Amino acid sequence: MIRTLATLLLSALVAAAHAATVGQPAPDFALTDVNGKTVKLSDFKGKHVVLEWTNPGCPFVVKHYGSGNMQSLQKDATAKGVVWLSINSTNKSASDYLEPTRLNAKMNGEWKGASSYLLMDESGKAGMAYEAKTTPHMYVIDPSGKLVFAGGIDDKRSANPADVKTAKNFVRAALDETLAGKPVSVATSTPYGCSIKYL
Amino acid sequence: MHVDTSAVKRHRVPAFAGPTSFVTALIGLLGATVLHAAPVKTEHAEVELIAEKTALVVGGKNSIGLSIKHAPHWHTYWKNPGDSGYPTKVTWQLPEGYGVGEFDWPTPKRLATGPIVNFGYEGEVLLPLNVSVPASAKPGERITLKGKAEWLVCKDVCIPEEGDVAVTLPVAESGKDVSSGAAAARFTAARAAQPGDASAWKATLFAAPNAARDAWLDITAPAGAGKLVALDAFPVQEQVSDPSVQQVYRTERGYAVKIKLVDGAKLAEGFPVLLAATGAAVGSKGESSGTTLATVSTASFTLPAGATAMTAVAAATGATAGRTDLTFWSALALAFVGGMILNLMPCVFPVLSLKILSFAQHSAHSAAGTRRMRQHGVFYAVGVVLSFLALAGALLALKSAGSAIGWGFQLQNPGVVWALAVIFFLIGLNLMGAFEVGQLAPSSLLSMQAKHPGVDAFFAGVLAVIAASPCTAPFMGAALGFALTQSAAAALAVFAALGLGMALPYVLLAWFPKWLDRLPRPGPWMVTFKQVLAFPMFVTVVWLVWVLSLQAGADGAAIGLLGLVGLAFGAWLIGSMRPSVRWAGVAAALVAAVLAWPAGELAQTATTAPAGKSSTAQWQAWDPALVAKLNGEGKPVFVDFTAAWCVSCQANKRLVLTRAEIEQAFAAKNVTLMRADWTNRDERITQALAAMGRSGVPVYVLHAPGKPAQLLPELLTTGIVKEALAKL
Repeated sequence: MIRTLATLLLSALVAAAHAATVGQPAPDFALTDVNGKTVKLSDFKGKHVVLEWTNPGCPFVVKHYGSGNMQSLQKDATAKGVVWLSINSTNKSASDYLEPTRLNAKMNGEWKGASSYLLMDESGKAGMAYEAKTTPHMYVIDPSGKLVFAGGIDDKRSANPADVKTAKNFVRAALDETLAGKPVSVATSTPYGCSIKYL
Repeated sequence: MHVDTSAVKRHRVPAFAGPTSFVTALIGLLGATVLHAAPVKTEHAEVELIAEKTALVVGGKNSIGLSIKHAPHWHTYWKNPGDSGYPTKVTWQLPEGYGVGEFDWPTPKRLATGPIVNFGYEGEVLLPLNVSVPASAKPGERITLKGKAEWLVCKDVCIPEEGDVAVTLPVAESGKDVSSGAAAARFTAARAAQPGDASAWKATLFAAPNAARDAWLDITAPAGAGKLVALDAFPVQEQVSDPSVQQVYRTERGYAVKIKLVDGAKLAEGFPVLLAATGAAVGSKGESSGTTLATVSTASFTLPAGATAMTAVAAATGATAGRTDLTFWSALALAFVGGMILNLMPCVFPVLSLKILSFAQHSAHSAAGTRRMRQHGVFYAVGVVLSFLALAGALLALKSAGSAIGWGFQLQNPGVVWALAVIFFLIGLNLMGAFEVGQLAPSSLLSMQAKHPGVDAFFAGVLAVIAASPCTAPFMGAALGFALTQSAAAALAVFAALGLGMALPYVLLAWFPKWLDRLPRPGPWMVTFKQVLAFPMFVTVVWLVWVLSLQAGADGAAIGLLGLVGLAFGAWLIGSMRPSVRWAGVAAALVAAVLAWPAGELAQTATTAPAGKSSTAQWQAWDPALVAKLNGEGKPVFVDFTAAWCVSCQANKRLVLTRAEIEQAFAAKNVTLMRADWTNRDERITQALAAMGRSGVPVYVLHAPGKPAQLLPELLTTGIVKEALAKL
């Protein structure tokens, strides 16, 4: 019953708020990170921000961390002053839900993830506001708070780590362009991966 | 750095699993055989390449297909996977000159996991492929078509899997007629599931830019298309519209579907969409689905006045999702168990009492007695099974003649209800001792019965089935619903299983009469017991006359009752008078029955009378459009598919649905209550039942807004209803 209520409530919330749209202001959110710190998107106004929806139980996420692709993207971005927020919207009831300490141990410990913050979104509120469907699902926000990119990380829709080398990485391209003050040429792409387990 | 890649489960299976050299040798021996590589088996799916025919014909139409058998509740994806996932694909390694086309995707299903909606397949699916054979191919040479198949198989979690698939076939010369392979039937079925051409359904996508990214698909139905019960629109292109948002309206010219475009949707000039329908055909060749290309317009769209919301697609597809996807064997098993439970249902119980009485009479412990009882049991079983087969045969024949009917159809005819009332009344009179059958029957018949006591048992079986027909037991609904969508042979097998299940307890008791030792010794108590059993019979008669009164009105019921009085008079004459008067009794009974028969005739005129008489103020007549409208407004709806002649329905209604606590529970959740009354024939209801995979009543459906329709069990308890309501 709680799940159903939650779905209805969430759907209502999402319907009420404006959905995230490229070219429009990115919806604000306040989430708690794995260390208990509250992080608000609006705190980073004036900076470029990357949102990465993630769940270490998903083979597609494993593809990008196992190959080191995601970590190198995170390091390159944060070195240029970009704020990288990894968000886990997996519901507590899902079989692969990890509580904050275990999530932290997996992604930042074992996998040496290099995001600025690893955020918990068990209610799915932030995920639904961005209409995040899959893990990974990527977003880029410019210093004015405008959403400039939304979609899949690259053009090779597979779980095979070998495809990382030959794939065109849309997030890297979007960051390069927006950091150079240019408009993003590929502003949307097809997200691929595991469906986010909202409920 | 250590990275855990265990989540990526790769399943690589060599194209030829097993002792290859032996297989190769075997090919040499057998010559023209098709060789399938061993299927790729994972925990979640079994995938293999199969061929339709036994050879590849030069210049002919050659079909192979990727067969995917999913583990229960797991699915793979359509060409547009929806919110997540990706379509199944094969990377080919083909001999020079050979080519394999794209998959001919069957119509997918809408699969929802929370707010994420996908399009894909569950159960068994065959994705057919066309093979082009070069003109230079040499007849007789063996060709291996192989490739790497990759598929994403998901339940709530997703596992990307892959494996090598192959099929080896000999080449046949151009124009040669080659025989079909073992899997040919699956190709026929897969073609039947292909969407047809729906280009006669003119559609326009109105995509005026707006913040909510709402868009409308305006569809003009071709002339003579008929009214669809439900319509589902599947966008063929990926990442254009949000699969989880869809509301269908019926308009004057056809249908209007409200959808939501995704952010950054790239709309080409045309928007291909697959329309899947319930209630009438969409495709050109009578398929229930077809693809059409909508013209894209940036004009805005206003829903025309008078448009009505249709059975929410969520509800329609939800019903399909809730539809039990049975295999033949599980349907047989369900039918068998359902048959056993049938003995305990309220309409069979009086007859069961009769059987207990018969046991009490037979429980002699001599060898001859045992033999007679076993014989009795077998004949009873034969009677039950043959009666079910006869009913199934009649049902199938009527269905193939185009009647929209389902299980219980026989009771939609008031003549049959009246005949049942007469039979039960006569049994009651007989049990009371008003007359003995022996007083009537000619001596030749009596001697035959003495020689063949099985005849008696056979007709007891027939009677049990007649009495059972207004009842559906748990499991039975799903099994019969399945049976009626299958071939005649499969349907008859399911009905036979039902009969066997129903007869089993009786046969067991007849075989092991020791189990009856707890019954008291035969004696005068049996006369009393027999008389007591007359009362359940009379109660059954009261119920049948009540059904008759709903079908044929008060006049019809009164005539029927008068007929029963005439029968009672006849029985009394037979039982108490001298032999010469007995024949007057038989005559009186016959006259009474004939005079009362018009009760059935009257009913024909009354069938159009409002069938919802049994509805109380709270319950309103079922209206699928209103269900959709209320759901759209966020209000849940409960629908009771029922019939006056359905005893299980009445039991559920009296014992559960009309209880104060349940009525309060409905009120507390603001649930609108609707009743679909199938007492008389109603094509709309028959179709709605069919859409849910059922062929008879009772069916209880809870339509919660934004969720698939939920089917409740055939036997309700207050607990089941409360639990379902609590989830709202």
